[in-house]
Amino acid sequence: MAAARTATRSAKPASKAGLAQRAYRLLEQAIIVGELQPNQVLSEPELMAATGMGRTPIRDAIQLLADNHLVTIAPYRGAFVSPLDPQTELLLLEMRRELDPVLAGATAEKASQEDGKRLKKLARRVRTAIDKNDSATVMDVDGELKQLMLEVCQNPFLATSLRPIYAVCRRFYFNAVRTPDRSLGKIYLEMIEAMAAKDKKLAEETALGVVEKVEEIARKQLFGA
Amino acid sequence: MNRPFDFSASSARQAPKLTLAEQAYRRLEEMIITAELPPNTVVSLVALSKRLGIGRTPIQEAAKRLSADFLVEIIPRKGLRVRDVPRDELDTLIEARLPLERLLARFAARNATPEERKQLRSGAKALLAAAKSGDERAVVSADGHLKQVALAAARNPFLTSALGPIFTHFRRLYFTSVPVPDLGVARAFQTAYDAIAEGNEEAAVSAMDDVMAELQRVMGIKREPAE
Repeated sequence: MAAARTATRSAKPASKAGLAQRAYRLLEQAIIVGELQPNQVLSEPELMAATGMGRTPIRDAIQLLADNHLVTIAPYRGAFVSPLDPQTELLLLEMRRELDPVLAGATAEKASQEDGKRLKKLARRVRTAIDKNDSATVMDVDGELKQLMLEVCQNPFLATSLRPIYAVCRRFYFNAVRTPDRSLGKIYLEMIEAMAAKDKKLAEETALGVVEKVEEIARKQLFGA
Repeated sequence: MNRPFDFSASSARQAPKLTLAEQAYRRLEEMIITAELPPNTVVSLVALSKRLGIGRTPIQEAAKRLSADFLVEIIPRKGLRVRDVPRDELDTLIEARLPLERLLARFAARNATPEERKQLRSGAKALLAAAKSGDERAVVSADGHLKQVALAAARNPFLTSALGPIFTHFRRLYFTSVPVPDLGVARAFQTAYDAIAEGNEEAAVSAMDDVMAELQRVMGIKREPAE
């Protein structure tokens, strides 16, 4: 986990929750890109050595991963990386058809000027990353965007519902797609712009468009063109 | 259709044996929902233990769960306080609940076992009968049972964990703000659960939209104009 180590070194000192969050992001990324393989048992000492982080944040992060269905904790077996089940991906995308437009609409409605600026900044970063075929950055920015939307929407019930769904979907998507998809990128950018412009209706429509595009990509991967 | 998840068989098919903590949780949840324990009540765990005839440890466990569900606050050495019901929570709840209920209708219609379909039909009948008799506690209990069967039938753990807390909070707001059982809501539920039992996904989703409209009507929520 070389990437993980670099990320740790450059990071600032953080609160207890902040450390757990950072451990979570490192492990989530390792699971998404397959450095941690499906069904691989998670050993706390190994993860501590690989990330340079202490036992408590690692343990908290494993619990967060389990809450998000990325890790399974079984009696006598401990924690292991949840297997990848293609049926789950399609099921989650079916759920997102209903949920993503609501989240994007609420985000557009509730976004402050400051939020609008943050959204536009994320849009610029995605655009550059797509132009450079830089999938790793797209993955990072996508994580930040979802986090921002779940805060801005001001709906803790919606946020709690979507957090695990996004975690698992990100794993499927970025595990399989290693170069950014241009036509998905286009509508994804439109969605961010719509939210930044506080255009609720357009945000809802484009959010549905994004899910449909992701679904199309997923089906192609699973069942061929 | 493959069933990616089958975590829920126990709750629907046979009455499961509940742990004492689970029993305590359900009883306390119901008491909070029906305002038998009104908002801002402070009550000691010893008193609750006596009142329910359940030991201290399971009561303590139940209190922890209720606190995680935002229903009570734990006051060290005193017991617990029933949280107030913020009325503005309703908009947020509805916003999240609408899309999730559509999904519940769809997945339950698709995945329910024949036994679950039977239970949904009879449960909806029981709900309507309870509403007709005006017995609020019977309505609360029939409604809670139906929701459990529907969630189990949907076979989707993401949906279960999303809807669980929403149902609890909503039920509480509903039963404290709508004092008399509403027949319109009960009838709409029956139509929706019958459609789910039929296995007709589209009809179930659209009937569930009608239920949500009825709920918003009786709770006095202004709806956005249709587009």
